[in-house]
Amino acid sequence: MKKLDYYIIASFTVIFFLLTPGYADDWDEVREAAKNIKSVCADFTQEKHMKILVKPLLSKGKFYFNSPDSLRWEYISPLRSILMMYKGKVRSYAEGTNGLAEDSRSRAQAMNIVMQEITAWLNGQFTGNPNFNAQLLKGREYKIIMVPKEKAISEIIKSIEIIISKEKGIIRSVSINESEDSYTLMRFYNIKHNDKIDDSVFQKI
Amino acid sequence: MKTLIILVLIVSVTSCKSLPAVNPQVKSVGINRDTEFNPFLKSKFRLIHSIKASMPGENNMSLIGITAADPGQKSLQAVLMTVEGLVIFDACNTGGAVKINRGLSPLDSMDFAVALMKDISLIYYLPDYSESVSGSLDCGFSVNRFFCRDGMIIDMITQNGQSGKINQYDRSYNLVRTAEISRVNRDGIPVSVTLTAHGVFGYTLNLDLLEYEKMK
Repeated sequence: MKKLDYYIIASFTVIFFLLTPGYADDWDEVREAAKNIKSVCADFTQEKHMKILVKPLLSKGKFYFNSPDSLRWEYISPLRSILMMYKGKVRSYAEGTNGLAEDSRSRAQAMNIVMQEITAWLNGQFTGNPNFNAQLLKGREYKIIMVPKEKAISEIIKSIEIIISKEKGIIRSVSINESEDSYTLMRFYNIKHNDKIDDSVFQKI
Repeated sequence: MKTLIILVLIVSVTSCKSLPAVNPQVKSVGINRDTEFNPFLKSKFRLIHSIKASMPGENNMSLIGITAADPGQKSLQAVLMTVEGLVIFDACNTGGAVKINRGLSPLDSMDFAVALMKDISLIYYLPDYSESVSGSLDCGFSVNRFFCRDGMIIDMITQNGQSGKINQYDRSYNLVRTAEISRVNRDGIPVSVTLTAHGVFGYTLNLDLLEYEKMK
């Protein structure tokens, strides 16, 4: 599996936890909540923090999901990029010199793998995730810490931390940590569960 | 099939083998900063670009590039990142010594790191030259020609006040790199650059400046 694949899998593991409504005292409640998800849509911001940057690099986008196998992960700025999955078929688009152009290579291949992961989670099977160990910590807030099982992944991602507010189970932040000096912080807004999302969202650019 | 490949190679090599004439050739001391197009950095800057790469075999990718450039020291740090935020390459060039901090295959080779540093230097740094001449090309554009200490020849062509082109030739006068710069902003930073690596295994990078700031 290519290293980019691992990063995309990690990202979508995070997304799944982010978009699960409510929080859980244990994994059973999370599993139960996941079964009720039919669709999700949300806006997101992504901050890239690195030592070379004085201020974080900000990206923005939108996310759509229809159970069981349709997904749209779209970056709007600073670069336009779309990953789409519709009834199992994966397509990837990136901004070229003449607008969006289909990228048929590694990103689409990676999404096939991601889809298998998401399908497993929707069936409540994530404590047995072959790629990550997930730990749920309780304190002033809830924190989920995910650590890669394999060295190949840990060379790319050290850990993923998800902070959940105790009030109504709102996800506050997610941090994908590459190293001490480099991490990506995602925040999701306007999260809507189980709204009707037209299939065309997952088919058209 | 073999014959076709050989023919393509011959055409590629012969078509690139040309150093345009500069008339008249007047010895110069670099670029006249007041009157000529000059994309080379004069101060330390941090630059962030969107990069659209067109590679052989119709492989296209979009990346984000971060460059910390010190033209005084001719040092660089270059980072390449996917749109999702994954750092796939991070390397420094200090005094000619290239060090890879992070590189995900296939961007983990020293050859790639050195080549990338050279490409960035070509666009942003005044060449390290032993001699330079200025004049005009047959097409009428003015040119500064730098004879570099490493044997390469670099032509800095002014097309109008805010746009120009950098052509790099190897010791055999083959055109190996072209950087087309559509304009520079008020701080003299190229806003849009198309870098073309010529040859059978060539590639094209389109760099658009997203953010920049002067470094202390």
